Parts: sequence; C-alpha cells; structure tokens
Amino acid sequence: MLGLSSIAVPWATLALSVVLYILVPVLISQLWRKALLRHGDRGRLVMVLKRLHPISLSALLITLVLLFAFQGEQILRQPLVIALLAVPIGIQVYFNAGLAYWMNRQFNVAHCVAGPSALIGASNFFELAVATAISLFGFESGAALATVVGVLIEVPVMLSVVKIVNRSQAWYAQRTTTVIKARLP
Amino acid sequence: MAAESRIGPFERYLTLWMFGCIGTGIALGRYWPEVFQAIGQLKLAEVNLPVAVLIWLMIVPMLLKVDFGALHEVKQHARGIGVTLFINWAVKPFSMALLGWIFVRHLFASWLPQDQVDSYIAGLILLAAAPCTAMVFVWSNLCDGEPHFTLSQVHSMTRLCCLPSRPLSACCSASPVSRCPGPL
Repeated sequence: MLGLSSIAVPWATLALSVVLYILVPVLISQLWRKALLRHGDRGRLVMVLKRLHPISLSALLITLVLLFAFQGEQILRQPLVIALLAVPIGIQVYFNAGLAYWMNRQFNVAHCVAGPSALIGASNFFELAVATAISLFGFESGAALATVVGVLIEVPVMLSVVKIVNRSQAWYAQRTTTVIKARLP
Repeated sequence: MAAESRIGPFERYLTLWMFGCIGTGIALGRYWPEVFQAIGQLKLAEVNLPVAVLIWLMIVPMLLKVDFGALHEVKQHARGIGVTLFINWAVKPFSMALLGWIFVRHLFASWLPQDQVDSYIAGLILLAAAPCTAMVFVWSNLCDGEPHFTLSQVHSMTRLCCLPSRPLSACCSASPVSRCPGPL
C-alpha cells in the first residue's frame, strides 16, 4: 500500500519510550508501593492515591497545554487541514473503542477489563508515529502533520471515551446479568 | 459506583478545563513561540522530556495499584486480551486506511493540497499502526480499569511491536471466570 513493509522502525524512540514510560515508572511505583505497604496495612497507600489524584489530573491538563503550545504556529498556519485530518482520526478512535467495547460485552468480559480494552484499542502510540513519519517523509511532510493531529486529539478524544465507558456501565452490565441469570438453574 | 463517588470539581468540569487548556496552549505557542519551541526541543529521539515527566506523574497512580504477585491472574481475562489484540492488529490499521481513503482522498480532497494527499494518508496509517501509548494507564485509571490487565496489555503491545512474528499464545487457555477487584 505504502511500502509499509519496508518501513524503518525508529528503534531509538521505541527503546527510549519503553524505558522511560514503562520500566522506570514501574520500578519507582513498585518500590514506593513496597515502602507504603511495609507495615501491612493499606491505609497509607489509599491516602497517597487520594493525594496523587489531583496531581495526576493537573499533569494531564499541563500536558495538553504543552502539546498545543508546541504546535500553536502550525495550527494557526493551516487550521483547515488540521480540522479536516482530525475527522477521520476521531471517527477511527470512536469506531475502534466502540467495537472493542461491544465485543467484550458479547464475550461477557468484566467491565473493568472491557474499559481498558476499548481504550487500548483506540489509543495511538503517537510518539512512535511522529518519529516514524519524520524519519520517512521529513519534518515538513503531510505525513508528519497527520501524526501531529493524532497527538493533538489524543487527550480530548480519549477523555470523552473514558466518560462514555463510565456512563455506560449500567448498559454494559445488563447483558452480563442476563447471561448469569440464564446460566443459573 | 467508585467512579461516581470521587467526582470532584476537576472531573465535573473536565471538558471545560480541557478546552481552556487547548486555548491557552495555542495562545502561549503564538505569543511566546521562542519559549515553547525551546521546551519543545528538549527531546531525546522524538520523546519530549518535560512531557515524559508529566506522563510519569499521570501514570504512577495506576502503577501503584499493580501487585506483581497478582500479575499472573490476568490469564483469567483471556477473552478481553483476545479482543484487544484483535482490534489492535487486525482492525485498527485497516479501518484507518479505509477512513483515510474515504475522507482525505475523496470527501475532503478539494480542500486539501493535492500533492500532500498521499502523505496525509501515510501519516494516518502510521498513527493507527502504532499501538497504544503509556497514556493508556491514565485512561484506564480514570475508568476504574483492572490495572494488571492494562499493564500486561501495554507490555504485550510493545513486545509485539518489536517481534511481530511472536505467536499470540497469550489468548489461549480461556477461563469463564471474570471478576473485578476492589478499588485497590
């Protein structure tokens, strides 16, 4: 289609992302968790999680400011192209999240698994996509711009998917309960 | 349930905050381009370091809930794993190619620079072919998702991305039991 088979994977980006976004935070969190649970009660862990909640939401909003600030000029230079490219990406996210959510419901998967499953199905590894597009087509290419639109809409669109997943819990549970009832003698 | 009880002013007006941040971001990038270009340049292999620190702050709460001793229990979510893998590798890149073809090549073609159409579609497909990001930890936490399931899936996506030929053995051994843990 695009010669996708011959695409050079940006290994540096991939490796650094795995170390930076998975290995290091997992290690820190696990050491911290161990320290909090040292005395055997979960009270301290619950308290830390409660305190971290607003911090992590603020970090999300600051990330959003930064992502748009980095692209501010680009957005003002060609707002129409960016808006138009956001349409297929948006539909793509809702379609894949919806399909994954619905399939999990059909297979009677627990809601706490169906939610992340739908979100993983919809989310894009934008750092990797941006790096690949730049290395293949160049910084000023249309491909790089399309991946940047993916970066811009990731946070707002995924937050709306989270909202839909939370609100549809009752609808999701309807099927699970009917199936359980049907299985009972 | 758990998600309802901790809704504060933050979550209630999240949409409002979000659009505020988008507007602020565009304005800051417009009026202090040097400052934000400089912050934007603080990156290693296309990974922006300030954003990476913010992502840490976002994902640590979910990772704190992960009990490595219980990680093997994700096997009981085999069907959920199967659906996730199917969507990511068998649906996502192809649905994006189709949507790119419909919208970029046909519906919106007259408003887009003609010489860039192929490039836009290539970018869209690259975006869809790249599996989920660490941000999924944040999304999962916000919808009370099972943290072990999310971690194992993000891990397997990254691994599958490196070794596309690895057999998808994870989705065998289906178990009919499925349960959600408590808030921790």
